[in-house]
This record gives sequence, structure tokens and C-alpha cells, in this order.
Amino acid sequence: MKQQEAWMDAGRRWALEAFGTYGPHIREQIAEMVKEEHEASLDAQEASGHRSNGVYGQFWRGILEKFELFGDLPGASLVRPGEAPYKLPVINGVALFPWRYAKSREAELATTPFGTSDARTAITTLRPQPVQEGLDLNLPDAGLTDEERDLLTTVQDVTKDSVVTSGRLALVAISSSPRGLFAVEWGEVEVNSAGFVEWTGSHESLLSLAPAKPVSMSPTGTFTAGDLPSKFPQTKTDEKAASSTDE
Amino acid sequence: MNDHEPDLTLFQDIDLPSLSAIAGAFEPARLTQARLLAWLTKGELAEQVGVSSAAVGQFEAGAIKPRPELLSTLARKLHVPIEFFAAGRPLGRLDAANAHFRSLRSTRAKDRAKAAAHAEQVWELTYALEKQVRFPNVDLPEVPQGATPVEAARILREAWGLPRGPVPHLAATMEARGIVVCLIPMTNEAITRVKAYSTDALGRPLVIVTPERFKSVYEYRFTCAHEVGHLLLHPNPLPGDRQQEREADQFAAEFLTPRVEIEPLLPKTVRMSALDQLSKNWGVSVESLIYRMGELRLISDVSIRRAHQRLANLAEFRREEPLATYPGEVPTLLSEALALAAQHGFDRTDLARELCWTVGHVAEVLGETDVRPKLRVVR
Repeated sequence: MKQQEAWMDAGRRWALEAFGTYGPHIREQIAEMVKEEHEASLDAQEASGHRSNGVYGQFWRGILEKFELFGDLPGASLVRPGEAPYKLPVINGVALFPWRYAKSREAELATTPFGTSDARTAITTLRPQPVQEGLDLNLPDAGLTDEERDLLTTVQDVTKDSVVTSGRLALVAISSSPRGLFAVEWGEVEVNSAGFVEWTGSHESLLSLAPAKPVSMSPTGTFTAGDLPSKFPQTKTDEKAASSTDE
Repeated sequence: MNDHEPDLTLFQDIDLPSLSAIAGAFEPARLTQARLLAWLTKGELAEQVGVSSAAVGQFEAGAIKPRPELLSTLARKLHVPIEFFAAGRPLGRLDAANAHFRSLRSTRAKDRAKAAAHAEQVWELTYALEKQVRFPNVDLPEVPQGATPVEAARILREAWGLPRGPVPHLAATMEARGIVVCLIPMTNEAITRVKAYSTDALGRPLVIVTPERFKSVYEYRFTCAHEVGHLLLHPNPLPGDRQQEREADQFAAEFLTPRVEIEPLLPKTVRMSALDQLSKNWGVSVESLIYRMGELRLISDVSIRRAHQRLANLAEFRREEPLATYPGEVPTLLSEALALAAQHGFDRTDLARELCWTVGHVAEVLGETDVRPKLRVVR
């Protein structure tokens, strides 16, 4: 359990370092947004009655639209990569891109080509547009501890240095199909010369369900085994029977 | 509709003054309940009893009371004793919007209204029996707001103290925890279009299922677990809401086959013999296990499609055993309660009298199948 907490803290810390004050908020929102979009796409798929999963396949459009919300955060802007029909948030100099890389178990992030279009290639070099700092109106509470605020100040001092380059890309890698939401991982990536993405540091799963560990190798009983549960243990008849046994 | 049935009624000995007393104490909601159970619209009932549709509407709204003479016609057409219409008995009121219907899209509003009226009567039967017999306390744990279906399933297994492995005797387990489970046999045409539904709106949770709609005991168990999922997760039902339906399915899958227990046992390829054995042990269908394999990403989507095709081809050779073969899956709470009450001198005739139902209707709501052969005219 302690190990789990430490791991969660590391995720929060990375979010702060990468996205600033609202990093932890973004981290929580992403998980919710992906789940919501998955449900909405499932609804659309079921309502269509189509045999093919093409309707669910529009998942990516919905998730991109949801991510636009992050463009309203202080220090964030929405940038169109190349001629893309969508905009991406660039927060604290880091572009955030949701990518549903897999719809089946076979596909793996490391072997799924990323740079398949001009827009995708442009994503790796996105720069934030100059924006006015946002007013603190209707913004969610960042909910940071004192320790986290200290960390944030240090990180911001470093990133303000003009020597530090921008063009960083944080990827939200999603594997899903109408059968379920299999994986939602996020972390910073680089696109290699072959057009594949590679995690540059640690990456984190945003799904709360931890991977299952083997528990039992042999079934215990069957669904027809054992006595039937008693429904009326407190009836007068039973009480009489119980007292007569005691005697 | 103009039929020529003779005016034979069960309660012909009611004299006019009594009839006037019943008419004076007329309970409009009883007319609605009886009409919905007879699966009639206001217009259809009006036509059968020879009044205007607006008049039936006014009777049900309580704006006017039917004449004493009309009461006996209404009773005959709706197959209820005349006393049924009198006020003074506890009345369970359930709006169809407060019940979870498994497949709302294929369930007509008329069928849902009838199902809700039936649930009201199951509650009234339960209430009448509870006055005679102490029922098990309702034991459903509080599930924290925002809990996932998987978490809710784990909470319930722990709260009910279920051992690892398959959930034994699901219906009996639910009943022992105070949930009233009721089977509606095939005799009721409209109800059979409603696969299953549940409600917590009447104080004691009710789960009503139509056994003939299920291909196997496995599918029936999954549906029962699905309804428990609704009761735990969805205090505010949104009938037909796909997300609520999916959540109830996810709950049922995790409750009946917890991931950490079933995952190591599932084969790494679709081996039907292995899945069949698991199905028999765990009381879940092979289809459900294949779905679980896909959900846990143990096999590819292509393999899942092939497996379902193979299953569909095998289906015609599969022999299903009747639900009665599985004693712990047939609900008995209400009939056991009635048997206990009878030991203390309160039998089903007393129950029928208290509820103002016919004895046959008591049997029907208890889920007892009429085994007598049907009389048919042979030309």
C-alpha cells in the first residue's frame, strides 16, 4: 500500500513539473475525460446499431474536443498543429496530445507508427502562443500542498531560463474498443526518426484498476455446492426447535 | 369489443348495499392498477364496459366515482373481486420511471406500466406476509458515491461474507439478505417482453425476472446479479440509460467472476472444453467467460468473434436444464413465508381475502405455475 502511495505521489509530482500549478488537476481530469468519452462513444455505437465499430472509432475527435478545455487554464493556449482540423492545448510549454493508439490487444505503443501525417509531425515541435495570464475567475482549486508549491516555484525558476528549450510533448496513450477501456497511460514522449514514440521518462497509468495478480489456481467449490442459506432463522418455530435442542 | 360471456362472477353474493359501500370507498389507484395488469388502455377498458374513455380517466383521477352497477362489470372485465376497488388497504405506488428495465428499447411503455403494477402487487403481498412472519432484514451495503461497479462488487462480496470462488445459490443468497426475488411465469404475455426489472422505491428491494426469457440458469444468474448492481449503484434509476446498464453488467461480471480469481483460471486460447467446465463451476455462461477473456485482453477481438460463431453453431446441440433443477436459484422467500404463516393459522385464503385478490392471483404473484392442463375446444 505504501508503495502504491509513493507511486501515486510520483505521478502528481511529474504532473506539477510538466504542467505547473494545474498539473495535478489536469491529471485527474484526463482520466475522467477519457472515461466519459469512452462511455459516450459506446452510447453512439450502440445507438447506431451498426455491425462495424466505425462509430466508436470517432472516439479520437471527441477526446480532442474535450482536451481543448485545458486551453482555458492560466499560461495555456490552443495551437493548431500544421493544417490539422483540431487544436491542442500547450500548457506550461508542453503540448498535450491524446492518441488512441490501439483498439485491440495486439497493438503496442512502441510499434504503432505515430508520425503518419503532417499534423502529427508538427505536434512534436509545437510552441505555445503568447497568452495573457488568466484571471483567477472560475478556475478550479489547484489543491496543492505547501511542499508541492515549493517544488513548483523551483521548477518554474528553471523553466523560465531561456536556455531551456520548449517543444515538449506529453502523450495520453489510450487503448480501447467497444469491449472496454484497456489502458490510459500518460507521460512525456519523443518521436524517433522512424516515426515511433518513445517514453522519455516514467509514464503512468491513469486507470484506477490495478493489474490483476494471480490469486487462485484451483476453483473452490461450484455454484451449486453447500447448504442453502436460511431465510427465516428468527421465526418462532426455529426458536422453539433451537430451545428444545438445548434441553 | 362486444363479447357474449355469461355474467358469472366469483363474488355474486355481494348485495346492493355492500356494493354501494364499496363504490363509496372507491380507490381510483386500484382501478389503474387492475387496468394496467389487464394490459388495457383506458380506451380499451371503456369500450369493454360501455362507458366513454374520458369517464375511465375521471374514475382513475378520482374526479368521479363509478356507479355501483358499473363496479361489478369493471371487476368482471378486470378479473378482480369487487372488493378490490375499495380503499383502506396499503397501496404500493410505483412509477415505471423508478424501476430498472433491462432492455428499455424493446420494452413498450404499456409493458413497463404493467410490470410496475405487478411490482406494486408483489410489494403488497410481501407487506401482508410481513405482518405474519418476520422477514430477513435488508442487508445491502452502502456503496460510496463515485465507486466503480468493480469496487461495488468487491464491497458486496465482503459485506455478504461470500467465500472465494463461485457465488453459490444466488437467488437464495439474495433472499436471505432481504431482497424479494420473484419469477413471473410465461402465462403472462406482456410481462414476458420485460426480461427483468428491479426497484428499491417501495421500501424493500424487489427483483422480478421472467424465467422463460433465459436460455440457461447462467444467464438468469447474471441477470439477478445485474439487478443487484442496479440496487447498489443506481438509487436514482434512469430507465434505459446505457451507462447504468453497462455498469450493472460490469458489476455482475465482477461479482460472479472476480477478476483476480477468474483471470488465472481462464485458458490462454478459446478452448471450449475448459470454458465449459469453468461455466459449470462458476455458474456463468461460456459467452460471458469469452466476453471476460476479451475484457481482460487475454485473446484478440478476432478470436472472440470466431468463438462466438462457434458457440452459435453449437447452440442447437446444447441441452439446457430447467431452473427448477437448481434449488438455490428458484426464489422461495414468499412461498416459505406463506407456509410459515399457515403454521400459525393464516393460510392463502386469508391472504387472498386480506389483499382482496382471488386465490389464483395470489398463486400467480407467488410465481407458482398452474400445472393444470388448459381446456380447449376441439372441433
